[in-house]
Amino acid sequence: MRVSDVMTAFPAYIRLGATIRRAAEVVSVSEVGQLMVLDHEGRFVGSLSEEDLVRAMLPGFDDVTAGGGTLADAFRLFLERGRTLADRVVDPLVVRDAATVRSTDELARAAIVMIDRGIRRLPVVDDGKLVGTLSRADLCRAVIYHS
Amino acid sequence: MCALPITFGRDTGMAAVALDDRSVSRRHASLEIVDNYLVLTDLGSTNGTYVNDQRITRRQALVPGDRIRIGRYDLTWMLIDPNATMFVDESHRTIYRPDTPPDIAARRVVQAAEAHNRQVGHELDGFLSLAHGFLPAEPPLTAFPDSHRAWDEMTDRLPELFRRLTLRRAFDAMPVLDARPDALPDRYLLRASTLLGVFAHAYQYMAIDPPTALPDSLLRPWTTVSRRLGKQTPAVSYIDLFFYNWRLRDPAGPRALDNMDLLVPTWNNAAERVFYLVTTEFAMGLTPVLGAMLDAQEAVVADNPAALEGALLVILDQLQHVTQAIYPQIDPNPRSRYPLDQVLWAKTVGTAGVPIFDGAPSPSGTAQPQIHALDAFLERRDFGSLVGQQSTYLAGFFPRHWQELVAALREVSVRQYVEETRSSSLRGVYNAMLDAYVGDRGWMGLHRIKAYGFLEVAFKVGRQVTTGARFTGLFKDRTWDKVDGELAVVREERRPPVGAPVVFGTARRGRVVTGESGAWTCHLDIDVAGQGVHHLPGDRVGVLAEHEDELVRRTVAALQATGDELVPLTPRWRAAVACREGYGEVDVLPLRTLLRFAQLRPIGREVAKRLVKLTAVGAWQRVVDARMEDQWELWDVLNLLYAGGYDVTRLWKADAGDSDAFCAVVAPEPFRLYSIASAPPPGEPATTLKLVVAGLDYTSARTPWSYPRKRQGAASHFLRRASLEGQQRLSLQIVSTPRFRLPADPARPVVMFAAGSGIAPFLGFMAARTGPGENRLYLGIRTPDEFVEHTGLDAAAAAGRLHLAVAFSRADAAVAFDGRRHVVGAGQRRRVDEVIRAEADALWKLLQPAEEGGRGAYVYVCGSSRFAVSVLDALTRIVPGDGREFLRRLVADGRLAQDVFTTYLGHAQQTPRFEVSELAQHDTPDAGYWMAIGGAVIDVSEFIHLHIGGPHIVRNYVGMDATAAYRKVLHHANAEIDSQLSMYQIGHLRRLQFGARWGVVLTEDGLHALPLEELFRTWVRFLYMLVAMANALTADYGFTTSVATSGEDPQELTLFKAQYVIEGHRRFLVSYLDGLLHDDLRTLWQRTVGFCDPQQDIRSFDTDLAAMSARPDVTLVRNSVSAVKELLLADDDFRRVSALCRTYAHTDVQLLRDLKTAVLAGIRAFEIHEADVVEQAGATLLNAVRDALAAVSAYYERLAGQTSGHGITADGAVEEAIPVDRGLPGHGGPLLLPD
Repeated sequence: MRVSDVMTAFPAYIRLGATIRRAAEVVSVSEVGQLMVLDHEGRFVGSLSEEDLVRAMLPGFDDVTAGGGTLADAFRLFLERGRTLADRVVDPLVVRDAATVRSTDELARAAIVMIDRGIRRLPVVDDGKLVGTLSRADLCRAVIYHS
Repeated sequence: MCALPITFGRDTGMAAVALDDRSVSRRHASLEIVDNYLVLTDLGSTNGTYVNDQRITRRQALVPGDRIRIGRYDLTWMLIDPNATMFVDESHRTIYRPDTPPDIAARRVVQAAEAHNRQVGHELDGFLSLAHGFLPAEPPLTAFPDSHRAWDEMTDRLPELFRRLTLRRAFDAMPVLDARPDALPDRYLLRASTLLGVFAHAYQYMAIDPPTALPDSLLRPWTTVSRRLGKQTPAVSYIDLFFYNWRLRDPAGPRALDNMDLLVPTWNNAAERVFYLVTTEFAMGLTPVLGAMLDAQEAVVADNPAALEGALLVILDQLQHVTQAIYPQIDPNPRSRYPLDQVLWAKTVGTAGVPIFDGAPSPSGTAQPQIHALDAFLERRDFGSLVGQQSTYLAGFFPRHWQELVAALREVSVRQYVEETRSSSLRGVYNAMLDAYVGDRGWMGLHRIKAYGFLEVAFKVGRQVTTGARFTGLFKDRTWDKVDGELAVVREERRPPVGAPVVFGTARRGRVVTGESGAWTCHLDIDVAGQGVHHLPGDRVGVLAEHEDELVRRTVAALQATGDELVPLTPRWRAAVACREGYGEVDVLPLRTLLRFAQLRPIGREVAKRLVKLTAVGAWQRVVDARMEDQWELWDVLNLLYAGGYDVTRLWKADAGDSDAFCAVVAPEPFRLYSIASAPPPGEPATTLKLVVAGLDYTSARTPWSYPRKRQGAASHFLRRASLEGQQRLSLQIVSTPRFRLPADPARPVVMFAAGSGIAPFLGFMAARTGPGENRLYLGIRTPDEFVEHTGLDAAAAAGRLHLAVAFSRADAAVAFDGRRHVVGAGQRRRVDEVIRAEADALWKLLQPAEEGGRGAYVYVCGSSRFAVSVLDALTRIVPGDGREFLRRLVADGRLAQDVFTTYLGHAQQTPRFEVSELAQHDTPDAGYWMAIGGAVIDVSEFIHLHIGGPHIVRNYVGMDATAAYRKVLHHANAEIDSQLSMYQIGHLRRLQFGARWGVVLTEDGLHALPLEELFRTWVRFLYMLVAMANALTADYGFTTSVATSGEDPQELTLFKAQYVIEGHRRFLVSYLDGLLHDDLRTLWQRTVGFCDPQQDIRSFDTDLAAMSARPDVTLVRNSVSAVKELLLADDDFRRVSALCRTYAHTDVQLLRDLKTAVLAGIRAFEIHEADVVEQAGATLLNAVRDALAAVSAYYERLAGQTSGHGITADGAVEEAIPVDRGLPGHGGPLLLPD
C-alpha cells in the first residue's frame, strides 16, 4: 500500500508570515496537532506543531527570575507570553528540516520514520509541493481497521 | 624437579641423575637436606666436585646463587621454601638443572645478567638472578665511606624533623657533598640514590605547600647520582623506595617482614614500615617465579608437557602464597599483628612517592618488574588503558637487564603450546595459574579490592594524588571510583585464558540421606582425574547446574514458544555457554537448551527490575516494589506479565542487541559454590571431589505479592539427579578460600563447629590433618536418621586425633565412639550452643592465646547464618572477661574462620521496618552503627571490629545507604561474604508510598514536572551526603590521635599533625561546604519551593547566600586559614595554633551535625505524611532548608568569634585557590628541573 492511498489530501496549512494567533486558530479549528507551512509561492517549507507553540509560551529560568522569581510569576508569565506571541509571525517557530515522504512511498517506510523520530504527522511532498499529510491515525485506520 | 636426597654419577644404575661424561665418577656426589641446609657431598670422586670453581673436600652447605660443577656439567638449582608452598610435594621442592647451553632467550638474559653483575661487582644494570629474582643479591649497604657521613647521619633524624616541621631547615644546612665518580665509587650509587631520593621527597612533602626549589645540598648530588644511573630527571624509582630500602635485623635471618627494617625511614610509622616492607617481601616471595617461567619456556621448546606442568604449578603456588600469605600482612584491622591505618597511610606514605619534577617517572605499582615479566610471559598485548599506558611508560625507565628480560620472555608462547596439546590437566593448571594472577580472588582481584578501600579512605581525607594518577574534585565526585574503574579495565587487559576457565568432572553414583522431616542430604563424589585440579582443604567448588525438563517445559509454555526457536547469544551468554561441555563457541542456541542453562529460579533483583522497565505491568511493579520478586520463578512471572498485556514472545523474537532479548534480560546460571569435603594428598592433583549437598525445598510465602507454591533449589536438585544417574558431566570451577585455611603449624589444635551439611569442609580438613594436632568437631543435626558415618572421622577418632560431639536438636539421642565407630545411642536433645556452654572450661583452655598459657586453637564455623550467630554468641560467653573483645582478637589473629550460607527460608518483609531518619541517626559509637544494603538494615556495631578491610571503610558508610559501595567491591557476588550479611541484619527500610503525585519545579533547565518520589529522593540523597561527610571528617580529624612519626605521644598535637588539621579545615570549607551550599542545598531548595510555595521567589536562596558570603565574619573565617598556616610554619606561638586547630575540628563536625538535625525534620515530614506531605507539611520542608542555611550562618559567626578571639585577623590575606587539576596520569609534580 502506498502513501497516496491513505493520506489526508487536504492538509491544514498556513503560510510564512502568518501570525501565531492565526496558527493557533487553525490548530484549534482543524484539531490537527501539526500544521504544514508553505511559502508565498505555495511551496512546502516545513511544519509547525502545537507542541512548539505551547513550548514557546513556557518561560525559561531567566525569564522567570526577571519577572519576579516565584512559580506564581512563572504561571503568570506563561499567559502573558501567550498574549505577546499572538501577534508575532510564525516564521521563527517553523521546523524547516522536517522529514517528508513522497506520495508513492510504501506505507511501512513512513511508519518507520514516524516511530523512530516520534513524529505524529508526516508531510507528503512531491517535487516541493505539499500534496497531503499522513498521520498515525491514518496508518491505523488503513492498515489495521480496513484490513 | 627432583626428590632429595639424590645422587649424581655416570652410572644410570647407581645414580639417580646420570651425567654422561667420562670424567664423572660412577657415584660422584650427592645432594640432601640436613637441618634446613642443602648439603652437597663429594662421594670420593676421581675428578672432584666444584662449588663456585672451588673444589670441595667432602661436605659443603650451599647458599642461593652457588654454582655446582661436576665434570663438564654446570648445575644450577633452586629451593622452594616449604613455608611458601602448598601444592608442591615436599620431596620435589628442589629443582636442579644441568647447565646446558640455553635454548631460550630469557635464560640467556638471566645468565648474562648474573655473570655481568658478578664481574663488575655491582648491580647498577639491574638486579637479576635466579637466587634473588629482581632483588639485590647483595643486601643493601648500610653506610657510606667517611666522606659521606653527613648523609648517613640524616637517616635517623627524619621522623623527628617531620614532627617538628624543621626538616627543610636541617637540609638547607646540610653540606653539599660531591657525588661524582672520584668521590663516590659505583658500589655506593644505589645507596646514594635511595637516600637522596627519600631525602628530597621528604623535603618536598614535609609541609603541604611545596617549596619553591630543592636546596643545593640535595639537588646537586641527587642529579649527579641519577645521571650516573642513567636517569636524566632525578626521581625516586621502585628500586629506591622498595627494593633497596630495607635491611635485615639479623643478617643471617630470612628476608621477611619480621626480620626487616627500612633502610631510610621517613616517618618510621607503622603505615610506612608495613606498606614498604610488605611490598618488598612480596617481590621476594615471587623470586621462584622467575626460574619457573624460564623452566616453563624451556619445557615448551623441549616439548615436555610434564616439566611444563611442574613449572606452571610452581608459579601458581607462589602466586597464591604471596597473595594469600604475604600481601594480607598489610592489614587495616587495628588489632592485627601489623596494623596499617588507612588514614595514616594517606596522610604520610600515600603521597610520598609522587615525583617532584615534571615528567619524572613514579614508583607506582605498575613499575614492578615482576608484573612486567609475568605480563610478558602470559603474552599480554593490550596496554591501551590509562594504567596500561603508564605501565609501558614506566617500563621504559627499567635498568638494562630488566628490559632485556621482559623482551626475551615474549619469545616463547606457553599459551599456544598449552592450547595445542589439548591436555586437560595442563589446561587446568594454566588456567588456575592465570586465575591466581588476575582472577577475582587472585593477586589483581585482591589488589583491586584492597586498593579501592585504601583509595576511598585516602580521597575522603584529602589525598588528591596517587603515584599512578592525579585526581581532584568535590567530595561528591567519588574520584576513587574512577581510579577503581581504571584498575578493572587493566585486569581485563591481562586475561588470555586457554579455552574456558573451567574443569570438567563426572558425577559418580551417590547416596541420598532423608531425615524424618523430609529434608535430604546428598553425598556425591565427582571424578576429576587428569583435570589438573590442585586445591587445598577448605576450598570450594563451583558447579554449573542444569534445569530439569519439567521446569524447562513450563518456561517454554509460558514463553508461548515450541522450544525449537533459535535464540542469538550475547557475549556474556557466549562466555557462560562455553563453560558447558560440548558447546565450545556457539552463537545461537535452541530456546529449550538455553532455558536449561538460564537462571530461572528464583528471580533476581536485576532481572526483576529489567522486566518492570520492559513491560510496565502494574502487578509486577508492585511485587518488585515490595521486594518480593524472590518468591517467583521466571515462568510464573511470564504468565503474570502476559496477563498484564505484555507480548512475552518478544523475548525470543527480539534481536541479540535489543534490550528485550532473552539473553539481555535473563542471566545464565552462575557457578553455585559447595565446600569440598575431601583433600588430595599434598603435592598431588585431586582425583575425586566429595560434596555434601543439602536439599533445598520450600514453599513461597502467601502475601499480597506472592502465592504459596512448592519451590526447589536449582543446584541441589541438579546434583541429586546427577548422583542418581551417576554419569553426568559437570562443569566445575575451583574457588580458593584463603580465609578458611588450616593453621600452618600442624600441632595447633583445631575446633570446628558445623550444622547439617556444614560438615563438608571439615571432612576435607580431617582428611588433611594427619599430624599431631588435636581436633574437635561439634556437629548440630536434627535427628539420628540424618547422622551419616564417615570412615575418615572414625579412623581419626580411633587414632585419638578427633573428638566428635553431635548435638541432636529434635531427638533425645547422642553419639558415642565405641573404639571403632561412632554410634548413636540414648541421650538428651540439645543444640550446639548448649554443648559449648557445657564444655566452656575445656574450650576456653583450647582457645586461649598461647602467650597467655592457652593452646591458641583455630576456630571454624560452617553452617547457616543463624547457626553461626548462635555459636559466636556462645563462644563470647566461655571467655572470662570481655567475650566480644576476645572474638575480635581471634579474628584479627586469623584464628576464626567462617563459612556461612543462607538457607532460603523466609523473606525480608517479615523483619522489622525502619525509617531513613532512624538509619541516619545510627552513625555514632553511642547510638550504634547501622547501614542499609539492598534495602536491608544491617547493624554493624560489632562487625566494624571484624571487617577484613578495616574499620575505616565500614565507618565511612554508617548511617546511610551503602549498597553501591558494597557492590562496587563485588561483595554481593561473593557468596561467602554476602551470606554473612544476614548475621547482622536487623530489619529493612520502609518504602514510602507517594502514589503518582507530582509537582512543577523551576530550575536552570526551565520548568519541569517532577514526581514527588523524586523530591523525596533529593532529600534523602542530601541527608546521606551529610552523613557521609561527617563520617569522612571524623576519620580525617581522627588522624590527630595517631602515631604519625615514631616516638611521639599519640595524644600530642604535633606541628606536623596540626598542619593537616588546618589543611583538613580548608578542604572542609572548599571541597565540602561550598559544594553543599551552592549545588546540593540549592537544588533541594529549588525543588522544594516548586512543590510547596508558588509565591516564593526562587532566588531568595541565592540572595541569602550572597549576603552571607559578603559578611565580614565569613571573610575572616575563610581568609584567615592561610594566616594560621603561616603562623604554624613559622613555629611562632604554637599554643595559639593548636587551640585554633581544636576549634576547627570541633566546629566543623558540629556544623554537619546541625545540618543533619535540620534536614531530618524534613525527612520526618515525608515519613509521616507520605503522599500528602506537600499539603500537610509544605512549610516544614521549606523551614528545614532555611534552618540548614541558618546553621551555616551560625557556624561562620561562631568560628569568626573564636578566630578573632585568638587575635587572628585576615588583613590583606586572601583565600588560597585550589590548584588546577593538571589532568595528567601523575608523572611528576609541578616543579621544573632547573638547568
